[in-house]
Amino acid sequence: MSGRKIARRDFVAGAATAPLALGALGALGCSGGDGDNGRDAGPGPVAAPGEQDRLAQILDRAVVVGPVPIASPIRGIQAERMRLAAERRAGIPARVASWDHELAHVRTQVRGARAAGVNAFMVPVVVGEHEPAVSENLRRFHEAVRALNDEVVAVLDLDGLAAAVATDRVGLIPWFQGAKMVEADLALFAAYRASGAGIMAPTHLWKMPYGDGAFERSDQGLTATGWLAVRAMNRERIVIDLSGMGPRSSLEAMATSEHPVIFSHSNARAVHDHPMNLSDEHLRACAELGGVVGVSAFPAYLSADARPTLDDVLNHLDHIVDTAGMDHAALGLDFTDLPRKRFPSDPVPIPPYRFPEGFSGFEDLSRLREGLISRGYGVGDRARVLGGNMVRVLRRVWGDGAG
Amino acid sequence: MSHPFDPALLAEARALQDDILVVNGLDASLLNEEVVRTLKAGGVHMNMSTLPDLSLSSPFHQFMLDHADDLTPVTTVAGIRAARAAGKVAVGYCWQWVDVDEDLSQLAGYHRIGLRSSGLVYNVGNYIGSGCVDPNPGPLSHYGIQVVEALQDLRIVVDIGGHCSEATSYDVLQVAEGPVVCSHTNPLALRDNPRAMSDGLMRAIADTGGVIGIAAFNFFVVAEGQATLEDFLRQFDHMIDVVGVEHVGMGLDQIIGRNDRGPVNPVTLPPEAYPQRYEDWIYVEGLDDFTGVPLITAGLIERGYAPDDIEKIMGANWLRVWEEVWGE
Repeated sequence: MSGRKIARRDFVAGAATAPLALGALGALGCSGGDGDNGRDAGPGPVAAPGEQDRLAQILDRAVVVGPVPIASPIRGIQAERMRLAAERRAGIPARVASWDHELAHVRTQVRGARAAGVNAFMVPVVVGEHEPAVSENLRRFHEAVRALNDEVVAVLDLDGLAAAVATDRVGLIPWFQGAKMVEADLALFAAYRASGAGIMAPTHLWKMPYGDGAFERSDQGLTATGWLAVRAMNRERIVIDLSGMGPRSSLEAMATSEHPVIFSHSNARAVHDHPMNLSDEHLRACAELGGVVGVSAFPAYLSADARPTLDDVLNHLDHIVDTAGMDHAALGLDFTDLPRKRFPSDPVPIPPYRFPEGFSGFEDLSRLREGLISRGYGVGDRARVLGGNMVRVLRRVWGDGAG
Repeated sequence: MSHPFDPALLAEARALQDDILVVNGLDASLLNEEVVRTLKAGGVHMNMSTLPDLSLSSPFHQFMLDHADDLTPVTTVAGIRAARAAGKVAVGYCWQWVDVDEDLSQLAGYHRIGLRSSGLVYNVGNYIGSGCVDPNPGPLSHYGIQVVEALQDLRIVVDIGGHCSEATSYDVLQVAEGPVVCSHTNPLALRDNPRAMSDGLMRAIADTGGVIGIAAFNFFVVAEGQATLEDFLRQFDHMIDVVGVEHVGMGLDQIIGRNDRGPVNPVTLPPEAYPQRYEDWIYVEGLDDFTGVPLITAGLIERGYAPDDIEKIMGANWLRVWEEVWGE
């Protein structure tokens, strides 16, 4: 697979033989501050020597990925309802999880992320819920962060992200999928931004008040409210996540957004033609805005095969890099066990999902790194893909004057 | 020639209303004293009242109890006739969009406390479909199809309201079985406003056996100034020309006693469709409240409509559709 012709911007031959040991921060060769910066000469997005901006120095090598759910209380009530219904259909007996049990689950997930060198990842806090469920989910999120204070940091802004990196804890970035709780009352974006909504998807997979979802019957573009919502999210410095939006709606959202947008977990249609995936036109539009596309490992988005492989993940990544550019690829991971099938026509299976063999959780990130190396991604490129690009968008939108 | 404001003609109109059953197919006033007073004064026997906050805890349940001498909540056409016989005004409960947080199991409960008619989308796209001011109108969503089916399973009238886009409205007609209504709109042919309805869609609604209510909202009738009764009656003439007397009714859409003030939300109520301050939300001359309803009857008499046709337009068409959908 390394025979593929690739002209990576900063390919360094030696990178392929760099140590692959997996462990604490730095195992991925891109988490700054632990003395390995000079090992590889790749320029990357790392701050130049003499750079006075310590925040930038900390952040530029951060590994920032997502979204990956961490526990059911934070997954949201509607998602729970869908999960329980799906499990009932599959004949799985109902489980009642205690808070302690859920916290233990969060801790396991966070430790897995940390062991894999992940500095921060997006956590689904809202999956299509309305109030009062949104506030309940936020409460649980913040309670979990407080309970696990020695291991996690809530990332609501750049300081939070820097704190996660500097204190060697895992940053949890609350991720809102859908904005039902706002709808036409656009002033509410400010309130939700203040309580943690740093990244929001205006719609998810179905029709919502701002536009059509990727699984909808129609592809009608933004609604009257949707156009205004994009501007309102710009104003409040909320990162707009267009994953799951229909093709026309997301193109229109990019046409009207003044900030870079992200597709947190979407793949390339040219590699696998699926409604969730992005056309080359979308990839280029995203790049033009300075945004990023996070590759998803969700099997239905990777390949028509029932059991895709890590190679499929890399194929999507390569296509995104070749089409949008190295500065616009990221890792969506999307290691979810939440149900996504709501209507019979939805082009997704029901859980449990068959993620690629050897690529189904944080613990497998080392394999991805090996894959990146074998496909010619140098250390700087890897740093971009693993987090540098995402951090650039967060800095630009959340605002520290960079970008 | 007489005029609808002519006292003799008005007396004739009022007398005719006493012989028939007068129905307003959509009211946006909520429930208040002013509504009760003018319903009685205007000779209206049944009012379909928009109650967006319909729930067990809604204060209007107590309001209805407090006004039991004047008002009766109804869920059947037999109930409407019984209220009329008892000298009370019948009140039905409706929504202009379905807001159940995508949990359609709640609809059975709302039906239980009186919901009998519902719109789907209010001006701007929602989870169900697209609205009349959306730039790129489209069909029902997957969920929207389920909403229409769930309403019909409960025998709740499906109302495309006039607030749905035409694309969504046509799609509703594909999905729904039996009569579909549009509770309050105005002919696009007479006034170009995003809220108005094409002749083609009106015919398609009539083809289902449904009925279209005409709204008295000034800005839907004229672009500038005060709409006259003559302007309003011309809307009846046009719609009757297009769909016939079997499919036209009143859906006056007044906001009696609400006293809203200040700027509207321009997102859901954009300037191309609505005046931007509530102070400018006025109605056709004489129709700020129900006391003007006899003016409509008088106008129809004056225009030469036969008493049987006036009976249909002023109420019987609504009763026919409701009886078919609600059953007895």
